[in-house]
Amino acid sequence: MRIAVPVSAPSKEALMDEKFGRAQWFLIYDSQSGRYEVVENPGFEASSGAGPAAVQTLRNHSVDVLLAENIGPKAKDLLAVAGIKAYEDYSGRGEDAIREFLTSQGSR
Amino acid sequence: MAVRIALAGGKGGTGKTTLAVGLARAFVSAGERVSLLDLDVEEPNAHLFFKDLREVSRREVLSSVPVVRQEDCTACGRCRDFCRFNAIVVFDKAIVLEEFCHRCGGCVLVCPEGAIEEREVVIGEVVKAVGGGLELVSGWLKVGQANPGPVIREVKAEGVGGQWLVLDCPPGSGCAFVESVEGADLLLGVVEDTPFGAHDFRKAVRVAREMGIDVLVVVNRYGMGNGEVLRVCEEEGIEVLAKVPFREEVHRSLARGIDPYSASGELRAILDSLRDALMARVRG
Repeated sequence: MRIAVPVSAPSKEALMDEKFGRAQWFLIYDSQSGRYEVVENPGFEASSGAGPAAVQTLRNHSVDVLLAENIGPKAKDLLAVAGIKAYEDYSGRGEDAIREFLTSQGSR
Repeated sequence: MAVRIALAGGKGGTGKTTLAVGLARAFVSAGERVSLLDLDVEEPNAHLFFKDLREVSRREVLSSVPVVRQEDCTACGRCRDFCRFNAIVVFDKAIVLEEFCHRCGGCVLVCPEGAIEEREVVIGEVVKAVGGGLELVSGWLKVGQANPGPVIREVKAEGVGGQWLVLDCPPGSGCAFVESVEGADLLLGVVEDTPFGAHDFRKAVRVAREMGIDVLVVVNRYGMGNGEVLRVCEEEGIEVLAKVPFREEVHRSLARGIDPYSASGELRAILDSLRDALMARVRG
């Protein structure tokens, strides 16, 4: 499973970016390899369609799960089309959000 | 040739429609042929000031949206990379997101498989009516449609009956504003005497000047604000043709749907002198 979080700087210690489509970076955790990577979101300054561009970026990086503070309705629809599960109300450091998600998954 | 006067000004709610209707009626009372164009196609409302409108035509505005023939799409992504509006994503196949699409047709041209074709959809309506001694043409953009441009263009193409074309433009200084004021002989800024009105008007002036359109001003709700509008006009070298004072009783009349040309003697006199100033300016 690959989990993505929008972050405000290219590091796993960085705080989450409260905007999904306009975040400059995504922190991606791969649960198989246990590795983190940071990818840039090329659409972060787009004048139109930042949401679709962000979803495309996640899809290109084979992301399965997105954790964000909040996600707009159009982006939500498109994430569903892309087959990416999206969860809202996450905040704080990117790495912590991923850990929190994994813990909640494990406890199920 | 007809004279096109665009009433615009940046901020919403400054009285553009009120003064457009009032000015149109002032031209009618001078025996002029007038077309009033409601270009605020997301919220057309000039018709509400007329009691005796008779609809003479109504037609749909079409626009084409790209459609991907799934069986021919190889997911190469050229359409997506070309689209500057990010209206196309490619998952397993290309997907067009209509609400972001500006109908440029670029994706159709760049697809190496010829897999994208255009399909016409109805995005709005243009309604022409006569009443109050003039012709009123209104554009209606359908709810859910993002791009008002084609509807605005159709209203302008339809509303050509008068010697004077009074264009009631949408607020803002973006795409809809540009589409509306394009080709106008002059922009009559309807600016509210408030810091907000002055602020947004500056932006509209910059865009209009970039487009090579002359700007004149009517200050509305004069005397209620901080006078900043007049300073902006002085700085920018813009002539103020009229100042419409704020009168509570006039606003009460307008709120009851009484048309601005009939709402008060003072306002009628201002509209008449505004009309005369415009006629003198245009006809020399």
